[in-house]
Amino acid sequence: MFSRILIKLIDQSIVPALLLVTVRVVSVIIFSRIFDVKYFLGTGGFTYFNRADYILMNSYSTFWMIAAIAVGLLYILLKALIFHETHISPHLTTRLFAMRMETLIQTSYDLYSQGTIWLSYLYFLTLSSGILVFTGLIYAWVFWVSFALAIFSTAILIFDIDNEISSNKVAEIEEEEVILSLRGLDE
Amino acid sequence: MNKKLTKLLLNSFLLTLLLAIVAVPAGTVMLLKYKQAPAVGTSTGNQVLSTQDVRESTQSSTILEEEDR
Repeated sequence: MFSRILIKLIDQSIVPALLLVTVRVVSVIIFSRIFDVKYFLGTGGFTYFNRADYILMNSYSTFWMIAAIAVGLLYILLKALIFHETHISPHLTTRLFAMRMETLIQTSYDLYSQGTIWLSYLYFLTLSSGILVFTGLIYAWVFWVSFALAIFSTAILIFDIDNEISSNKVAEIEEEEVILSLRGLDE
Repeated sequence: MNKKLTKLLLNSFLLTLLLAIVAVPAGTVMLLKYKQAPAVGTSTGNQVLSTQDVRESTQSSTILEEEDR
């Protein structure tokens, strides 16, 4: 069971990893052109010729990675809050089926595995930007944006898990078997 | 026992793989580097002199010349 969950998580983590690395490389190239910053591209990566250029490029490319994570996370959190199988409204369900968009309705397993992966990317990025701020290799606002996003999305996910637990409790109460003994009628 | 050990090894391998994949985007920090361009005059091992140094050196040589006279 545990290995099945891990395989599912690995499967879910590959696409965001590729997306984030692509965003990093493309944003470095684009911002180098916008700010007219000279760099050398070798086997070791992008090499800048002064510290100020390096900090500028590092900050902007990290910020765009955080923005990409924010888009992915907001999509997952939106699905968790509105289209979650366990607490979607009947009215919305019928509308989605009528519009043939029922694929938007997600199970808890899918939502939480995706949420865990995207949140892990955000936590790792917050951690690495924190270390870079500490060493003075990135602008501090990049770290604070990442930190605020991490707090916000964690709170929303916890709120959704809380909703899930309370709806499960209601379902358990509804499914409880009630046995009535009608002794008076037998006699 | 053997089955349990295999399962444990498989799980730890999968967990490590997952952590490695998740750490890749944060690790792209290493993709960017900076190298300070050498200042003019340091390529031959000479020390770069400030304006103050040059002024002091000129003043001392002037004093020496006057003393010689």
